[in-house]
Amino acid sequence: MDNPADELGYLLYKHPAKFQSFELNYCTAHCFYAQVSQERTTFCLLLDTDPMALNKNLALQNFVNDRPYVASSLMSVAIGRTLKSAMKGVCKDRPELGDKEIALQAHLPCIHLAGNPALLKELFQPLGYTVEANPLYLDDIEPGLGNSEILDWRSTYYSLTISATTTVSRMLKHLYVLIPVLDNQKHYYVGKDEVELLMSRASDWLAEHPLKDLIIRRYLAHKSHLTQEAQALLAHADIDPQKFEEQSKKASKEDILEKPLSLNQKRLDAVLDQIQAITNGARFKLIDLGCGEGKLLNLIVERYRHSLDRLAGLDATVSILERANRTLTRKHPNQDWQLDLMHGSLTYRDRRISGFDIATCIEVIEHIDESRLDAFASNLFGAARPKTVIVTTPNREYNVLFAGLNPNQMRHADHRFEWTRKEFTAWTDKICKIYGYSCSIEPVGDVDTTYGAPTQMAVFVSQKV
Amino acid sequence: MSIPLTVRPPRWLFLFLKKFKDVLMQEKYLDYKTQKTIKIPALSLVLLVGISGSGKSTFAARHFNQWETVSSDRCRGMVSNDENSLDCNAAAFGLLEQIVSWRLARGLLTVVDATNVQSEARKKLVDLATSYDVLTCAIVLDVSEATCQARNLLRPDRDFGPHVIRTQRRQLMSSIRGRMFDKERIKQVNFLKETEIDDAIIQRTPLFNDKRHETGPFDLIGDIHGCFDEAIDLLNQLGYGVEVSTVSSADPARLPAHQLSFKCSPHPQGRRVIFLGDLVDRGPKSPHVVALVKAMVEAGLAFCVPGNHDVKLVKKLNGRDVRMTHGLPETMEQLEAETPEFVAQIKKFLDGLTGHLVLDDGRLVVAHAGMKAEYQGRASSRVRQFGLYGETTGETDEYGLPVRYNWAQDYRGKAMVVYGHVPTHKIEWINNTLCIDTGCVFGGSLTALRYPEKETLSIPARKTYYEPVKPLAPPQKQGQEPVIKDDRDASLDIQDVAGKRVIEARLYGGKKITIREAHATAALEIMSRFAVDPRWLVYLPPTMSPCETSNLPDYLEHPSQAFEYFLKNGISRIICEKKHMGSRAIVVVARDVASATKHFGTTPQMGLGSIFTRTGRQFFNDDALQFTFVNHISQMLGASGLFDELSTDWLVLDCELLPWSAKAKELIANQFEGVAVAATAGTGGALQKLQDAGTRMLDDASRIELAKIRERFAQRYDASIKMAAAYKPYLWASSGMSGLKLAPFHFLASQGAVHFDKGHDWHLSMASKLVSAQRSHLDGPDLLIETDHLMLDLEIDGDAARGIAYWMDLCAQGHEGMVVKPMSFVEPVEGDEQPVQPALKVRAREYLRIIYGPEYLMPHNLDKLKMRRLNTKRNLALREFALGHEALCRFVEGQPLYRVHQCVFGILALESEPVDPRL
Repeated sequence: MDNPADELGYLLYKHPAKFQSFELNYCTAHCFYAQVSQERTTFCLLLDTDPMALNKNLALQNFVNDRPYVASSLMSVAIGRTLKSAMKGVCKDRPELGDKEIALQAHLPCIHLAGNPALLKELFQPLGYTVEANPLYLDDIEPGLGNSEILDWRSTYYSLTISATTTVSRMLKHLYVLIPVLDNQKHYYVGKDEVELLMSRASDWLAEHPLKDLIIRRYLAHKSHLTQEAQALLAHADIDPQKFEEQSKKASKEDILEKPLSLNQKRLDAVLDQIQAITNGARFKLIDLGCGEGKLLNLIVERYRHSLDRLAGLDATVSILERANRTLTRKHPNQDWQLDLMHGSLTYRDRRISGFDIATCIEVIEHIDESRLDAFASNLFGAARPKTVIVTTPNREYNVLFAGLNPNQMRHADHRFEWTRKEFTAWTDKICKIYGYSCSIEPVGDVDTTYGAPTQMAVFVSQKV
Repeated sequence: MSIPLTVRPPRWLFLFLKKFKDVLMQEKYLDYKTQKTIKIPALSLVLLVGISGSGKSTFAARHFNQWETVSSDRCRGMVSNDENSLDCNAAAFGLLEQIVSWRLARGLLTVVDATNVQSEARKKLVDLATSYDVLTCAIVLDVSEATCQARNLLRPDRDFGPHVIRTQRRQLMSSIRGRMFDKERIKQVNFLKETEIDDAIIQRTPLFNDKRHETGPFDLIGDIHGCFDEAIDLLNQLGYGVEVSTVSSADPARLPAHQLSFKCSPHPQGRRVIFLGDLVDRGPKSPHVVALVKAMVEAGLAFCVPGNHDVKLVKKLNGRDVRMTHGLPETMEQLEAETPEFVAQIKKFLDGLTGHLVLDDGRLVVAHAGMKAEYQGRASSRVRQFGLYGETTGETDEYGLPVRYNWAQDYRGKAMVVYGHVPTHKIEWINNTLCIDTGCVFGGSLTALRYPEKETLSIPARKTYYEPVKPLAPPQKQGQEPVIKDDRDASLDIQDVAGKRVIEARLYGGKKITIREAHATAALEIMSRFAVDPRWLVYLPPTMSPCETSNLPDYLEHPSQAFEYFLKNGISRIICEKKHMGSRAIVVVARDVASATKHFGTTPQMGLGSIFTRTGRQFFNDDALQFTFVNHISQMLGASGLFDELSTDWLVLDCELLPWSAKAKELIANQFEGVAVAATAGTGGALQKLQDAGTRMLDDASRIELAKIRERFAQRYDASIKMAAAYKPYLWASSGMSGLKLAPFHFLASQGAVHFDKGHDWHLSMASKLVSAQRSHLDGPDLLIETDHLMLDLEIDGDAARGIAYWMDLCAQGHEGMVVKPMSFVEPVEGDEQPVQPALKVRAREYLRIIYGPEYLMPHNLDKLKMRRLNTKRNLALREFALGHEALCRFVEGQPLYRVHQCVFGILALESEPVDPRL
């Protein structure tokens, strides 16, 4: 730093000749100066964590984790505690220093970055910082120590240095807010007062930040009601809650890929239209196999509540079923039809899924190992025998039209296969032959002349009476 | 007791009787004796019928045990505190019917002690019995109204007026006069007069189908359909020595059946034949077949159940109008050559056959078309129909034949069921049931199943006597893939695994292992979303406990504690095996595709076997690699001669697959490489600044504090570097087969044997043979490796020290550590004592950094970690071990897939029990 050391000492309220320690939750914060000279003064805030206590108190699932070693929300808390006045910009002994802009540099030897590496610059540059960030590898510490090549691993850990001529207070506030944003996690419960805290640290700079939505979302641990509140406070305006709910959803790769098409909506619409065509106003019983959070079930209730005799959903994950149950009973409290959410899997025969007019199986089969599809088919088409079965699955040929998808890559990490139109037809033919169904296949989504539609939908109708 | 009174007594007599009740009750005043015997089916619903005071409860107490009788009075008492309350009828009878239902479902004789004088009341109970396929019989206690009135007067609690009795009597008499019992389908009604009640004898007769005392051995023969010559050949091959003789000198092959006689002598091994029906129709010599079977049954050498064709023939012979189709015309034509006496005899014989038989203490059930568990040993027209025809779904297939309900897939009964009826080109066990109709008359073969050996013997048909509507074997067009319906693994039902379950595992003397519902729920997701085909999944490895915590200052684990543990449990001969640091892999592998399909019920497309992880997941995402891998092992097992040595077509091997990075790349990167980077960079960066600060002017207290913290961070940095180095030896590049190493260390099971009874020296010697075979195939992949080990006898001085030195050496080389096991594999357990752990791991000091964190050895941390508890882990290890053994035993015994799957599923469920994952 170009400024004399004692100025920094006054600003930080820390004496250059002292090594001071403060007990905080889960760690001790050490404050000391590594260097003091006319040219450059280096103040260090070092968090000395107890890994075992950290694991225990934060109830961390993995006992071997990076929390004791990275600058995280623990560091923000430590800044707030040990450098409180400095962050406020109050300098009791030398009031004129409080808002004096000086050449400052902050160095974080290890941060964890969640997301795209470009984020580092995108977060700090708009605030006027020069950013230097280097990914960390074991080989740089000791050649030959690392295994990134064998593991095909790209580090998400960085050493980060930001420099600017600014006030100490401003820089501390930036760090306080942005460190947990980089990391995208917090070690404590994020409640309502966290919004106030954010406002007190960021109200003067956040509104102008191009990534303000991301910052708010991450800082408030993706809690949509808090995010909305913060947005409102920042904009002094009411906001459309719908929009924010959508934004705050954790987007999976599949969602992102298919979003421009809003393919999921098209798919659900296509299924709903099919149901209309099949039932033609008659009363029916329907089961959604692999119902997930109950998105389709909800739409079916909304559209067909007067012709529903029975509605059921089956899924292999209990927690998701519980969520579906909460949503559906909240949205449709006074149902006069029967709703059953069942935990199960179509790789087992299940009497509970017999007796339905329609079974829907929307984007499910590609999550089943191909080798288990025979069992699935036997249990569904052979044993349960719904009158109509609607199956949708991705059309692999269409994948070339998705930007950001490598060839041979599938749309979702859990997809066990994705079929071409020919492969899907071969499968449906086999089902029809073995189990006595007839089938028609329809494209769902925008049809490309060469590659077809992104989704293929088969409607099976039982030929046995 | 009974008091004969014929006229309505005056009131003073009641008062008199009441006063001298005790005197009158004495036996000597009542000596009317006429004995009457009532026979009731051993499984039936017995309705006691009689008005209040007719002595039903007394009668029931005398002839039936306390649990067999369900009394309406008792039920009234239970729901209302008052046995005589009449305003609780609905509840009381609701309870009574519920108890009756539960008892009948379990197949227990049940007596209803209620007045049962009203037709509607009886009807309800009869319907209940019918729904459980149980016969109903009634015992009517025909006691005069006067007697009952008198008795009720003697009972202070019966304060209802005489009109109640009168009404009941009227209802009873009208039931009798109106022949109501017949209309209500009560098969047997026994009347006991007042004078007969006391001395009546109740005799329980077994049902016709109850042949539980017949323990075999048996030879079961499927549908003969007039194929007399094949039947004779098969019987002779089975060793029955049937001689066909004739009165004339004509060629017996051309004579009608009535001119033949059969000489059947007992089988040398005392075996007997069970014919599974459909003796007649379609084939050339139906009368002869019936005559033969009749002769054998009458000689006590055979049993026979009727088939639908036999029953239809009887109907025809009785003059009923039946359709002359499906081979009946042929039989009728053949019968024209027979005498009327002969025809009458075979008609009588066929008509007298019992629908199904329960044999060998309930272990074997036979019927023509199979028998569901809930129908076995029951008698109703529905049961008989099922035995004759099976059930159909109401649909027809492409040949116009009725689609049969596949009851065998749903079958979960304990008894083996053997049946015929549906001609099939290959016989296969489904859930302990077997159809042995191999379509002889259609040009297939005539098959016998030897029981209890479960071996089959077939005689090919001499010709196709009758063209089948539907081809026996599935049609196969040239150059076209046949459409194969593969529903063998679809025989698993959600009810086989969901919910709480208790599994009896035979290891350690029949341990009952409880799988809790919540854990089963967790396992269902893993099993259904990630596990390999259940037909391969015949085993999952158990978890393994570490040794007790070391009391040495710098160690969390040390071999001394493992040695101590085994010595304490009386085991001195142990083996220390190097613990390979890779991924656990179970290899299920067959000699060839035919063996795989035969023993595992897989399709040829599924290949020679499978390799899966400890949670049942296919090991390689790449199917082609999976195939190559399994094929190589199969080839090496063949080359080593181990298939032959163990007389098996398949093996299940417990192995470790290296390198760790082959399977766990993502885990290692996120969990270890990332943490190692963060730890070294974080502590390294701090250390740098602390060192810089050390060169500065500080006050004294600060200097001391700084030095202390600097030293601490130097240690933390050192620990982080060591952690990064700790897992490095377990990673190396591999692609496809190259770079992979597989170390088999348990030869778990092979045909007919689960090898838990053999010592680890045997297992390792098998592995050694396998590895040697690979050495002589230089051009093939260098996949298989041996497991370094040391055998010790802890009672020999210095052996423990050798063990420790061995471990130290492994640690120094950067290995994970070692596993200490009793040499014998499984130690027998006596009585209630806790079984000995099958293995304990002793992990290396450096290795444990990746388990407990880089800094676990720092004094403050190590002290805390030493407080760990091992009980839950050890209990789990034993339960999972026992379940794994049980799964293999069931598989080796050829038990149904669901029985094997339940054990494997149980292991996965136990794995979701909360336990410290660092152990």
